[in-house]
Amino acid sequence: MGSFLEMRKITKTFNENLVLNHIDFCAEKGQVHALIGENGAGKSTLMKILAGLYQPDSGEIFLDGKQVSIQNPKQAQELGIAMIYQEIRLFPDLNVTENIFMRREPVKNMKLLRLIDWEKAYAETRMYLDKFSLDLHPKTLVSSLSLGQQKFVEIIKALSQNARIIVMDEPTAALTEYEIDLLFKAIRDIKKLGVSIVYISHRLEEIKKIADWVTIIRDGELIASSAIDGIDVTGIIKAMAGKDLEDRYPKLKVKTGREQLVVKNLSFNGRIRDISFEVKKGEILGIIGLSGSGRRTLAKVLCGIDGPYDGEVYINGKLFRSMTPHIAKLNGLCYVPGIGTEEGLVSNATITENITLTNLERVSKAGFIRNSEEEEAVKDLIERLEIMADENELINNLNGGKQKKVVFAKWLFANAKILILDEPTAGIDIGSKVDIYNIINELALSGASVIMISSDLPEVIGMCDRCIVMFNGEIRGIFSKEELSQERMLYFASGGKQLEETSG
Amino acid sequence: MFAIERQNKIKEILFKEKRVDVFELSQLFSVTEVTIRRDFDKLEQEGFLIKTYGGAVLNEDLGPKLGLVPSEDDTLEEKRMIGKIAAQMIENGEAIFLSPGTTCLEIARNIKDKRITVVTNDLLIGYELNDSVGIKVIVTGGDLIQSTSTLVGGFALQALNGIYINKAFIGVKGINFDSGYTVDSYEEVLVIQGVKKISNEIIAVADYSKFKCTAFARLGDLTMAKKVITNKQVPSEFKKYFFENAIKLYTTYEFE
Repeated sequence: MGSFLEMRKITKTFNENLVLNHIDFCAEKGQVHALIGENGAGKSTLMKILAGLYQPDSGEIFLDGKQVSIQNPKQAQELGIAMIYQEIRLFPDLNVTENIFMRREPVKNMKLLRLIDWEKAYAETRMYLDKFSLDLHPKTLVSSLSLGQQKFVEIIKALSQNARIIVMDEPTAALTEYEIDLLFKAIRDIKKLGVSIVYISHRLEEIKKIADWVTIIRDGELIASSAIDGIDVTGIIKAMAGKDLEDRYPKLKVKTGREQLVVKNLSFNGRIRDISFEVKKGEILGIIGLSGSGRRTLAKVLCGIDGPYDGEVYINGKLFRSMTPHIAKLNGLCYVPGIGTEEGLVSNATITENITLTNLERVSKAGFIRNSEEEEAVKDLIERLEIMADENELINNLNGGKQKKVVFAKWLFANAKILILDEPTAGIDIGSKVDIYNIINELALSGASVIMISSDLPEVIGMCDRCIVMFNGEIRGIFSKEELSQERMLYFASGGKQLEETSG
Repeated sequence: MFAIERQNKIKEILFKEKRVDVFELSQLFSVTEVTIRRDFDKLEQEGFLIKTYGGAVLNEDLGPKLGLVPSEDDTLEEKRMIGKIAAQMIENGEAIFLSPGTTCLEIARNIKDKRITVVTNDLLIGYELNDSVGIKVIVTGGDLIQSTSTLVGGFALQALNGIYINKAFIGVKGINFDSGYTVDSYEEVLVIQGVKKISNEIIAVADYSKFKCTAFARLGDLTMAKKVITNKQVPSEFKKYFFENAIKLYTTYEFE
């Protein structure tokens, strides 16, 4: 007999990186299945395939004995697959019930009028809240709940959608001990309903306490899959957790100079509010925040892509009350966007064309492009950044790491002095990652200011001198390197407030 | 042609002709005169040449201060950049160790304005720092390995007794997956092992040409040093290995 959920020989590559290599993953009804692996091992990719966010290159998925093809998150939901992400994905300005029944409110049985049956919705919510011993009113606004309580709202939302598989990614990351106990009690109850739970965590104690089965993946390969007592989980997780905590980022301490960028009370369109910070010469400033936190909007406002803004931006002491990409560039401020071609590069043009595009003035005289100057400057950059490709190669033909370096080359060519890097290492191979870190070092060393937006927390902790944590369009805290820890940042990024005790 | 290749060629011509001309070189390499002047700036910093009007002449003072002529070095530029990165890691008030070799010599050239203590078993490194007022230099003593400036043996080891080092920079001759870190002689290994015992942090330094190479005597596993300073040309599998084993790999880029 097959398992309730069977993922067979799932393979996935990004660019040229093999992220999952023929992974088998099975889950049973009423089972808590712990999925463990280091950061970047492929856990979340595997689960994103299950959730319909990614399509596997090859492999099959069976649910309840039937082969299924999960093309999108909606299909996953219809199949009863629910994801509970590390970050909370609720609407803070709506109440508990509205969040739970978002877009599928119960309808009163009337022929012509579609009326939402709020009575029924509240009653059902009440039932779940009681079941999990949560002392909450169904009409309470989500924004007034603690993080732990919000987590429960997400779980209830999943259950009320008749979820048969619930994937929980580090569910306890921002929870108090009391809330963790409640969560475990809830998980045991949910098990009894025959729901299959996939539990992603680094925490040994939790896995020992709650998991029935363990699957370990490393570098996209299946290492082991066994009942919890049939395997030395302790040894494996300890080795892994230790490795994760170790600092592997080649941070170079650079003496910082004067402030190159000062931002005062910056607001834009309600999406970012009252943002103030500064970056010094030679400094690397991190910005973290979950999606919707406004970190990317902030970058785009600073570079003149979004606007107009309220507030003040000073570049090297000069006040700017409005910004355009052109002015930003002229003043050495640039935005290096996330993944490869999406915003940064022209994919069917050559390396040279891409690098010089930002700064044709530099290679032109009286309107004519001086080819030899251009060629020489580009060759020099290709060599310095070790791009290892011919300058006439098309961007299309380069892997992610090389594309990324071309984006850097482009901005170096434009003499950028303040660089805003958006997810600088997302989706590239480890070798190129190490290169990018060292390029960032060198930028700082040469007197540039680097602002690094990243969702890779260890990377931010490893590389930055200071870090801004954003939530809901606001800055929740600015921390020095010594103050940074993953738990702390996640807490503030999920909306946690300074010195505020969460109630149980 | 890459800038480094061009600069090496300029050095060759300089050694032969004793003087070079900006215009001629720009024709020869088909680059602009500005580029050649930039090369000159770099070579002047390295002490190779002295700029003149329209050209440059060989710096005749080069090298033979101690009667030791540095051998032909294809990776001098890479070592110079390693020296710069290493210098960034050294803070005033620290005691460092510099192992013998041209890479650590480049580190010495980049720390002259610091206030630190330098312990070394390389005569040339000791001499390089002789006019740096802020630096206390301790040369170990010991047996001089023939036709080098390296000191080894019992006397060298004795000098390490009762002192403690914050950062030991160890120049290695070979870095490979199976043989680990290697150097030229067993005597050197003994000294470095002594240094390991008294050092808080071991930092391996080697230009990219040392990767996938194995020298005579084994120093230790690739996990011996928690930091490695080298060049961007290092094979990607090493970058991956170091990252996965939580070893910080510093490579050099130069944006001026």
